[in-house]
This record gives sequence, structure tokens and C-alpha cells, in this order.
Amino acid sequence: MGLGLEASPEEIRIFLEEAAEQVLTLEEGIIALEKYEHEIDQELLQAIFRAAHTLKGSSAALGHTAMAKLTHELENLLDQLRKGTRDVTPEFIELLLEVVDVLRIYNDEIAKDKASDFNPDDLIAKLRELGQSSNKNREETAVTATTSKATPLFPPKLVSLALEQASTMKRKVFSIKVNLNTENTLPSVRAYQLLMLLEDKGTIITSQPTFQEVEKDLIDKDIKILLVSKKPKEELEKDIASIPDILRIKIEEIKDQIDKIEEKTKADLSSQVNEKINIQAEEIKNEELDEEKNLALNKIEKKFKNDSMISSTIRVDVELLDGLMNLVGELVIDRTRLVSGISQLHESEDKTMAIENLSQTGSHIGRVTEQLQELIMKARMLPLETLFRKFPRMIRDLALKAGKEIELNMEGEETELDRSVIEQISDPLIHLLRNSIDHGIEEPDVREKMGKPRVGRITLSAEPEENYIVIRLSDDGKGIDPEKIAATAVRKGLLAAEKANTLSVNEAVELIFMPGFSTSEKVTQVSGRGVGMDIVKKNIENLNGNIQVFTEIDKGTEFRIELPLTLAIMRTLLVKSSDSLYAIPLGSVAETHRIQKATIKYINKRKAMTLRGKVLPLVHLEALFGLPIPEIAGDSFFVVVVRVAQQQVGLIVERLIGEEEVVIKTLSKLLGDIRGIFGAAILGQGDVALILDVPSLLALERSSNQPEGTVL
Amino acid sequence: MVSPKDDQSKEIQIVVFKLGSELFASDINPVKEIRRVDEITPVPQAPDFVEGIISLRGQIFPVIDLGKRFNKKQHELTNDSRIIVIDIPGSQYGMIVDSVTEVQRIKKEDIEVAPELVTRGSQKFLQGVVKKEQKLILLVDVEKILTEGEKKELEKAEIA
Repeated sequence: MGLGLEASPEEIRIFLEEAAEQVLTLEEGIIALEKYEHEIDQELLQAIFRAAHTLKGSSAALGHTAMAKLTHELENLLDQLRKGTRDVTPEFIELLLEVVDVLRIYNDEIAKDKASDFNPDDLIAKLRELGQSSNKNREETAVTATTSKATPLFPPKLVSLALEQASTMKRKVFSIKVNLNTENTLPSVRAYQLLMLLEDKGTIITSQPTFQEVEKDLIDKDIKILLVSKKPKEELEKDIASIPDILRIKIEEIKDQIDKIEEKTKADLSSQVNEKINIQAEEIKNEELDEEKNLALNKIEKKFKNDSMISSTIRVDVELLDGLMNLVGELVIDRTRLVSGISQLHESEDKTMAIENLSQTGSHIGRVTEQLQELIMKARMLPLETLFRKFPRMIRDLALKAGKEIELNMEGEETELDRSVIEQISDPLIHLLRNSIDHGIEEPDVREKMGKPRVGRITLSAEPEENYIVIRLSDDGKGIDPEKIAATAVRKGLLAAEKANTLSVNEAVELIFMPGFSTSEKVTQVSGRGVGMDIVKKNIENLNGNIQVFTEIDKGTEFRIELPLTLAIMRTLLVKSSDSLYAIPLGSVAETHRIQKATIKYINKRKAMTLRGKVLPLVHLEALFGLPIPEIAGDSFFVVVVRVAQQQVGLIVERLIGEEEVVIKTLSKLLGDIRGIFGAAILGQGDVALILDVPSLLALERSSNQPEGTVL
Repeated sequence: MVSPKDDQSKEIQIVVFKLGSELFASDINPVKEIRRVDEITPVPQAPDFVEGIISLRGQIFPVIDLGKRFNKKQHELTNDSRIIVIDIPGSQYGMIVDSVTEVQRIKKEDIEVAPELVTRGSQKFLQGVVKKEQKLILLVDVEKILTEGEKKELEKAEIA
């Protein structure tokens, strides 16, 4: 079912972009809020409040009533916080985060133009309840229980006195709390000004500080006044606000208990009505544009149902676009020069001029395309921040669930990576973070006993190193015990028992990347759902990246992930076999050899050779793909040693062609996912080479040749 | 030339080609180009009817053997063989045919439902049939050459 929003697809797109940003701001703010114990940073509060306010406005304008309602309640609560009438409690934070999650659901609804089955009534009721009930007061406990909640600022006797006086004179009682900026000059003058002003508006029953205290300069930054006046609250507020150096004003009308409840429901009703009217007004505004919008909406509705479109837009610097345009302009000129060069070649007697011209044009095209490539790569870059910023919330939630105290530090968020790399590194990073929380960081009590700070520390950092971006994820948890790892691997039948003793510490730790390995004995909610480190490693290797682990027992663990700057271009070794060209990613190539036929050994009818004392299995590339194996002419052939983790295999190929940077093209979706092949590359002469996917190729090798797998 | 304006709704242009002795045709709109069969890079482990991939102006297109797709005998490449390149969203591929004969205008109303006897199991790829000078031209629905179901079947085959 569609939402029937009255907005053009373009408006929706803008809304979604903005909303995603605001929701993130909200979330980040709320999590930061949780960390403040005493004074809340006003700037932070303002930022959160603004985000909620913007969301409310734009969702109402869009016509998403449920979202507008929700943000309205959110705004109310945040407003109370801003005005200092509410304490930050864990429940409060929890509720706010719940709202954030629901806002995400709504964004998703709008993106897909499909109503979700989420029912916001409970949440809104909860928010309302919270909004009405417990207005904070720290003095609350000091006040006797019989006092109404709204009047804890003052002794109940004075309040009832004021109420009595007010009712006989048909006036109202106000509790006024003003927050003065005491850092400025002469706060006492401001306080005096305030008291004078209020004396003018009605009768001050009591004030703290009193006139006398103010005269003696005995003032606090909070000024509390109990006032009986016939003026409306709004007027008082406005008048007080005209005094300089006032930070916050809170005015509350105090009423008798019974009156109060009635008033509240009335106020509630009226606020609801107001809200409805507001939304309706906005709807009417929108209706004028309806016809146009509807037309446009229908037209692109279909297109918009494809939600990937939204996430696949990117913001590009206009300067960069201009740069691209210029380069394309140069290419167009080059094309003309090519054409004229060729006709010159055909027509003129003296070919040397024409050849000279053509070769100049050729080298110019070379330069331009190089720059084009560079710029396009730049346009595809995104800061890692886009990914990192969702982690604090995740860590918070996970830590809470795991009963651990964790602080997340992030560095180098500004480091840029190709957007496709960022998209694909997200899951592995989340998995590693989960592991750190679940298996790495100890319970707070355990940590304390060990003399570590209760709060565990996870550090996520990114920095460029040569042609790679290196992401480090480290924790100060309990580390990985190589002996335990080896023992588990043996128990799970992944490793022969006699082999376990010969492993180096590093080799043992690397076992965690083996398929089927998982250290967690029990399956927890957080990690250990069967997806293991092997998937993490595979995902990273699919990105042509590399992961290493460093660990020390009781000190912590660090994962070091190397990622290529871009996915689109890869350095490869080109080889030829059976008339086909193959490109092997250089990251998987260990070395190449020219081997005499005579040195081939046969082990179990399988080809192998010895390399530096170790046995290296040899396999024809064709054999892996089930193609006929060619006869190799001459008495020597080439072996490309490829490696994945602990496994090394020598691929027999006909010819080595050389190193080449290739642009990766995906194979058509119509072909499906073909094992062993990563994609295709178009070479200089228009030839097509298949890019080998070494990890899955070796998996093919394992499954076809050696069922138990070979760990060398 | 007939002005295209008034014909748009009633007439379509079709590319007529041969597979063996039979005539087939495709609507011209999805056809990006027709080219000679040159270097096709075979893809190991690809489905049977996939001949390989070609590069076309910086893009990779899979090439399928339409004859095999229609369960007909394997074709032989001749000088007349052509690749018809289809380029529509979701379906970008080339299909090898034995020859391309002509481009024709036909009236939409002349398209009839293909009798099952003629289609012999390949009716799911066919939009209909047109009679032309005593001959039947089978209209191929190029979007359905690879249907969703088959794509899934392909995936299953991969896993198995």
C-alpha cells in the first residue's frame, strides 16, 4: 500500500537525504547526552532539539502524519530537557533511541512508498505519559508528599497561601524560575531588575533570593519567584525575556490539584487539536500543488520503488564536475584531431607529418584519460565517517546487552575510500566489533579484578598507507589464546592433532579464519550466529584486501585490515592459457616460476613440486574449470604460486604476459555468480580477460581434488 | 519514407533473422546493434547456452547461442552469422543467429498467437507469429530469453 504522500519524487528524495542526516544527528546527540552526568551541554541540546524540530516540520510538510506526530512528542520532551525541567535517565534515553529507530522505519516507508506494519500508538502514549508526568525536581524529595508535584520550588504553606489569595482576587499563581548568566557583569543588577519588573506585574509572595539578599549581592544563578498576578503567562514570559543576560525562563501556573487535572486534559486536548489544525493547514497548502505533484508522482512512483536508487546517489563537488567536463571537452577535441590526422595520412605524400601529429594526439589522449581516471576515482570517494558514525549507537546497544562497559574511540574518520569498498566493508567491521564486545572485552568486575579499568576500550582507526587504506580495530580485552584456538580446531576436526603442536603462535591464531571455526561455545544474541571469521576474511579478500590479527593474552587484540583505495581498478598478473587470457589479482600472487617438466612429482597421481623444501601442489588452471588440459609444448612451463591464508597452490599456465592495471567489469547478472571468476577486464587491444577470484578458485580446487582440504 | 508519427501505434519495425531454416524476428527497439561474430571470450562454468562474453564500447555483454536456447541443433558459425546485441535494462546480452535478413514494418494487428505446434516448447520466448508471403515469422520476446525462473534455476545449479 502506498503512503499517498503529496510530494514530488524530487521533494521526497531531498526529504530523505535530509531526514537521514537529522536522524543521525539525533542519535549521535542522544548517545552523547547519555554520557553527561551533571550539567548538560546546552549547545548539544540545541542541536538535538533542532534536529527534532526540523524533522517535525518536514515530515508534516510531506504529509507523513504519523512521523509528524511522533516528532512532535519528541520535540516536547526535548524542550523540557532544554528548559531544565527534566532529568536524563536511562529510561528516558532508551525511549528517545526507540523513537530514533521508529523514525528510521518511517524514512524507510517513505523511501519505498509502502506503509510498514509498525503501530506507533504505544510509543506515542509512552512519550505523552513521560512528557506529562514526572517533571524533574531535585528538591522534590525535600518537599512533603502532600504537595502537588508542580509546586516543589516553594514551601507548600506559602503555595497554599498564594493560592488562597489568588482565588479571592481572581488571580493566578505562577512559579517562576529564571536562570541568570552569572558570568556577565552585575548579575545582581539583573536580578534586581527582574524582581522590580515582577513586582510591577503582581505580588511577589516569596522569592529566592529576596530583595534584601539581592541588595547584598547574595545571589545564585537560579532565581525562583512565587508570583500572584492577573497577567497571562505569555506576557510574563515576554517581559522577563526582555531583561538581558537571562539564559532560561520557566514559568508554571500553579493550580489546585483538581483544577490542575482538568486543565491538563483540556490543554492536552487543545494541543492535539492544534496539532491537527497545523497539519491540516499544511495539507491545504500542499493541495494547491497537488495536481502537478500527483502527475509527477505517478510518473516516477515506479522508479522510486526501487529503493537502491536512493542509497546510490552521491554528492559531488561542483568543481570536480567542472574538471571532468573540461577533460571530456579535451577528448572531443582529440577526436577531431584523430579524424583529421587519419585523413592527412591518407591524402598527403609525406606521411611523417601525419604520423607525428597522430602520435602527439595519442599521447595527449593518454594524459587526458589518466586525469579522467583520477578525477572519477575521486568523485567515487567517500569519507569513512559515513560508515563509522553508525557505530557508537551499535556499540552502546551491544555493550548494554552484553553487560559490559565499553568506550569506543574512532580516529581517521576523514580517510576516504571508494564508495563500493565502504559499502562492502561495513558487514565485516560490524562483525569484528561484535566479536570484540562479545569475546574480547571482559565483564566490568573481571576487569577490575585484573587491575584494568572497568570500562573496556575499543579503538577503530583508519589511515592511508601507500596504495592501501589500513583500518585497525583494537580492544584491550582478554586477547586470543593460541592454545585454546588450536585445541578447538582439533576438536572440530579442522586440524590434525599432531599438527596442532607444530603450529607457531601466529599460525594458531590465524586458525580463527578457518571455515567452520568459532570460539564461542554458546551461541549468544550478539555474535556467534554461525557467521564466522571466515566470512569476514572472505569478504575482505573479495575486496582485494587483506586481514591480519595480532593478539596478546590479557592485553587485547588488534585486527589490521588493508583495503585497496578503489575496487574499480586492480593490479593483476596477466597470463595466457588455452588461448584465453586470465588476470590474477596481484594481491593473491606469491611468486612465479619457470619449471622444468622433469621436476614435476606425482603424489597420489596429483602433480606437485617442491619449493624451498615444501611440497607445492600444482594444478592446471583449465582443470579447475573443468576444461580440457592442454599439452604443454617444450620442456618447461610457468607456475604462478597463488596463496589464500595458509593455502598455497601453483597454477600451471601456458604463458606469463605481465603485470597490468585493469579496470574491473562485472560479469553480466544474466550469467549468475560464477565460481572462480571475479569479473572481466577489457585490455588495450579490446581483448577481454577473465579476472580470477583466487579464494573461490582454491575452494574449487579443494572441493574437486582434496575433500579433507590441505593446510600447508 | 513513411512518416513515423501516424504509424507508431499501429506498426512496429522488426529485425528478421534466421535460425536454421526458420525465420524469427525481434522488435527493433531493444536491438542496440548487429555485429559480426568476432572474438568471443569463453567463460568457464557458465551455463551451457552461454557462448562467452564480448566487450562493446567499454561494457561486457554475455553472448548466448539462441539456437541452443531454443533447443535446436547447434549452429555452425558461417560468414553470415551475426550477433544481435540487446540493450534494455535488466537484459543486456548478445544473441548469435545464423543470419540477419532484413528490417520490416509490420502491422500490430497482423501479429497472431503462435500455434503450439509451431513453437514446440519455446513458446515462452515468443510474442506471437506473423505471416509474410506464405512464411511464418516467429516474434521473439527478447526480454524473456532469460526469465526470472531460469535465472533462479541457474543459481540453484551453481550451488548444487
